Amino acid sequence: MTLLDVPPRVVTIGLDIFAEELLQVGVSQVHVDWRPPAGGDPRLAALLGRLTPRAEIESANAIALTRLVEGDPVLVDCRPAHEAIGLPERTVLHAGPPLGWPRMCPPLQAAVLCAIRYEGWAADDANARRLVERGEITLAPCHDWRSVGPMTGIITASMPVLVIDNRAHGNRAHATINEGLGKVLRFGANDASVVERLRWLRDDAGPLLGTALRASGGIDLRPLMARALTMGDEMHQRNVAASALLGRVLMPHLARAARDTAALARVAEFVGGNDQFFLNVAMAAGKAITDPALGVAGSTLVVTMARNGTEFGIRVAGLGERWFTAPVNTPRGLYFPGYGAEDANPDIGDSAIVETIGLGGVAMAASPAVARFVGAGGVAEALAATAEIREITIAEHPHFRIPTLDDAGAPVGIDVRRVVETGITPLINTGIAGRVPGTGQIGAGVVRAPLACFTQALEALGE
Amino acid sequence: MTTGDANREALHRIQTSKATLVGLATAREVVPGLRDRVVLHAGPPIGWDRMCGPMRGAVIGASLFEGWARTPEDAVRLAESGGLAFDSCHHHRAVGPMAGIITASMAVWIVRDRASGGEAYATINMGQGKVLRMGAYDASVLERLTWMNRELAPVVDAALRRAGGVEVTRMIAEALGMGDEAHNRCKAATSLFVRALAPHVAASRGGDVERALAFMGHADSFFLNVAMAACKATLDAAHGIAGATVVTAMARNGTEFGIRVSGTGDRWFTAPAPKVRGVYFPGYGPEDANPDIGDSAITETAGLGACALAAAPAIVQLVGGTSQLALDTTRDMYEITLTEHETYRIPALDFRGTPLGIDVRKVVETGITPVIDTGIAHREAGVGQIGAGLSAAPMECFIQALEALAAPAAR
Repeated sequence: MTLLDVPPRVVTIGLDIFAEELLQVGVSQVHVDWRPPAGGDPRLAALLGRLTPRAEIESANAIALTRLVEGDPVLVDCRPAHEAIGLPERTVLHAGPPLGWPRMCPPLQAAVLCAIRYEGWAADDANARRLVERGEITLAPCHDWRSVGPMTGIITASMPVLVIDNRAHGNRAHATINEGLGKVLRFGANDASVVERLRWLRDDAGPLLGTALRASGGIDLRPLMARALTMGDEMHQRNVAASALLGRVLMPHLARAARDTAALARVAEFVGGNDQFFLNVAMAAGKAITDPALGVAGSTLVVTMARNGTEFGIRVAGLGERWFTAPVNTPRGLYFPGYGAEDANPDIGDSAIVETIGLGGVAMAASPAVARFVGAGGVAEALAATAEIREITIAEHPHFRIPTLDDAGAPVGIDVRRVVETGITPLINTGIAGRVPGTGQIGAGVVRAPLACFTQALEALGE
Repeated sequence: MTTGDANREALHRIQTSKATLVGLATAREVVPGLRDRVVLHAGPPIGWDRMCGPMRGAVIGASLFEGWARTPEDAVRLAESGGLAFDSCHHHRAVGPMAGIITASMAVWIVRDRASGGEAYATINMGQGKVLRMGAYDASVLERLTWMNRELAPVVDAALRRAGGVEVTRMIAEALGMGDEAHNRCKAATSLFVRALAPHVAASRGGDVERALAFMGHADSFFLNVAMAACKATLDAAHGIAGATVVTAMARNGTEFGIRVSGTGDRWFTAPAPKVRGVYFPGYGPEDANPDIGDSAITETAGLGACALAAAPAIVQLVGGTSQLALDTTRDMYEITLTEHETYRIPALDFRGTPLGIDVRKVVETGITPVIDTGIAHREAGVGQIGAGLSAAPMECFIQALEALAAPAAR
């Protein structure tokens, strides 16, 4: 009968309204943050029941996971896209899932037209637009061409692309050279300075990087990326350490490859002056690592996340090339002076590939400076962000480790089932493009992948 | 001036210091009093008879490099017979890691504090493995020394002058956000430094650009000597303020640990150099270790190194601890410092400034002595680094300093 002699010890489950009421009347309690699986949707819950746990799924996921974490990306070359991936004339690759011209957001349309001018397929935007509208330009996702591109993600035939060799599987992936900050094609800027820089990349910087990289015998990226993660980079919004480490390795090779000191100095300055230089390298490494996981039958792991400024799309290891799309969210974040949320373009770019390999927003704990920069708070919030992602991933990365978590691995292997069950969707760190073409970057922030992509994928897995 | 005012003035000079790397020069041209046959060394003053193995080895190497001796035996005889004049780097506006040997023909970095106008100097870091600072002096060491001083230095000096100098304080602040504490870990700063200078090295139109870039980027410790010279330039500006109880130098010669305090002038307060607690490379153990050595504790004195350990959890793992130890070490240092650095900030502590201004009074009052984050040298000359760890400054130095500060002459 001691039950009535001591104060009650209360455990509340689910709705926090119970806990709040008790707190108001001075009763201490322990609250268990529980929600019904799949937000209480009985159909999805039944589907989850069928898919959890199933030995064949778990073993397929183990195979896909091994590919995701044991990929061995090596930066081996830089050459024009028509040589590296056989990209034909009058084809423009873009970020994200496939998208027709009429549905493209203005910055993406502006970048497509700018690329057509740069290639000399049309003299001005009006003629370029006519070519597109008459169907004389093929538009395709980078992902279909073993490539990825940040923001608008534009790639055309003459643009030099970095070549990443995945030595664990023998496949390759590609990305353009990061153009730097300010007015750049990837943010939809399209004036003469943008085209002038693209030509310099094509005629000078690209060939020199290619010669240097071929002579180097390749630069191992996995250890470099692991190191940069311990230096405050999450390799999406912050690449300063990785860029500096790569620059340090690359410089002697560039010096050997350069014909004259002026050309070398300009490339060294360009590479050294861009803290985001490594972003495109990290993305191509992500693509090289994830491609072999696509097509592991039965696996429920996410291997692609990408946005085209209109839709967010994911691809799942067990579901092959099929995209599951939903309208893309607009990032929340910090804006450069003079800009605000009303100026922001919805989320865009293939860069969310890094979140699928345990970097970017999912590794926020490694990068408190980014948490600040993207408006996600301080150290505590950064740790919480990574902790939350552990609920939807199946493993800790054996190579990408986070010093502030006592070297625990970054969360990797996003499982569609866990996303639907918990309602927690992957967190992505991202740049924010202005929605008016030609503006460029106006801020940086975080964005969530839309849940609808994952519920569709779950339904397909249940078929 | 009250002690409070004196310390405020000292801290103000540190906080407003703008250390800028302006170039390289041959030591005899810039380092005050560095004549022929003068050998500068790390730590408080010490004679040949009491020098530890690595420091003796470095003296031999320097004598061979300068051409004062033809063989190691000749060099030993020269030193024993009083043919060399030894003095502390610190007495000559200079600092040196480990043995810290500087002689007249060596190239030195010139770091200028643009706030005070004062300069400080340090040699070029030789990298890892067989290096003079660990007491190695074989042919490969002498070849590298010759190349560094005759070939590399002019190329890098030209690059620095073309670049208009490098803001060292700012670069260190950036590196602190990248897992460096600028003592035992200079990986980020070295990378940033190479990246900043590479275009200018490339444009130098002379010398072996490729070897220069490869050498600069080869070892993560390349930036250490630059950071040390920056700390020295900054702290010298805060030295010599009557009544100030702020420590302005901590340095070890491998035999003794010494400190200098702003308000007590050029006097050293010394005690036997402590052992380093740490982790050893395979095949080595505590019995092989030299006691703590080098001027590099100047970084801790300036709010870096172990004071900033919370910024560099990767180091703690290297020396066998957890990231909690890194946080705890920095938090302990707040107990014995007067303020927080306004430029050097720690992401893991929500960008709190590093502990700055070690106060002799607080050390004695709390019984907490500064922690130094350091490499471990083999006690025999030339073997090199055999581990890394943490050491604690001896309390005895601080008690002596407190007594001196309290003595009527100091008031």
